[in-house]
Amino acid sequence: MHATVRSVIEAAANQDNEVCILDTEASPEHLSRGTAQYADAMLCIVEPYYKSLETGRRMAVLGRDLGLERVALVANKVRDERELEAVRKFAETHDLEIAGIIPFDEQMPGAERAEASPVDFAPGTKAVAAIGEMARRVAAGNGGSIPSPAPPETADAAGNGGSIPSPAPPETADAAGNGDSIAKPLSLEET
Amino acid sequence: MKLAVAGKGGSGKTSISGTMARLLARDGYKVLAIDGDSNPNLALTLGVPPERMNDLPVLTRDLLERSDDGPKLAKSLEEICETHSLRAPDGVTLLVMAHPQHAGTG
Repeated sequence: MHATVRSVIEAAANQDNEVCILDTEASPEHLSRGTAQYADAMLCIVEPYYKSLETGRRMAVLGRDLGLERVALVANKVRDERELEAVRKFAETHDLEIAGIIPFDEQMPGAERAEASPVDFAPGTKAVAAIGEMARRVAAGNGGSIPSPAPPETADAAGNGGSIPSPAPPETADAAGNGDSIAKPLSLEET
Repeated sequence: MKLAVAGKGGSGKTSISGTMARLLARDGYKVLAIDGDSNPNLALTLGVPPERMNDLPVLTRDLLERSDDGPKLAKSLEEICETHSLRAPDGVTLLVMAHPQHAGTG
């Protein structure tokens, strides 16, 4: 299994307009078998409590050992400034980048219960917006600016009615554009 | 860009993976999503209807062949996608890895 995953990732094309996303196993063990070795970047999804952060840190270490160009934490289910601060502090202590901050959003477990994609279940919800903003930044291969990879026509051509909230305002891009490894704090009080 | 998404069970990594895949596909990226988890539910998060879950083709080990550098895919990834992938909404291509559990009694 691990060899198959590794080989598929290795073979995946890597043009500018192509993205390959590997949803890995929950246990970190697979990483030591090199499943992610041919990835360009690894996102370690963490929740704002110690055990989860510590697992993320261990995964990040394994990712770095594999020689991945970019290894970063993504703080998920963040409820307030206090939780965000805890994640930032942890990241700073362990010299880890935060690639994105996804707010806690009741629509996400809602989508799961409905066995639906969050994108279909609650298109405009704040977690989906935050994931989209992060995805665009990460896919463009930089921590900073948020270029739009395709003109709006292409998005329309997908023919799906659901409109997607536009990415975060440019301020966010400027904040990260200086090579700062820590993402600018988002206001979780909004919406 | 090849991304590996890791995290503890329940951290939301599958929801994030699936959401990223769908939104990037809408942006015009050609997206290949790979479910490497032993409890495959990336398909649902991508918006594949539950009733299609039984149609999910899985990638088995016989797609690998030995080479001097270790195991390699026996066919091109394009060929494998033609026969073993499922097309999810927004044109996302989904590949699901076979797990030993599938062969068990479960």
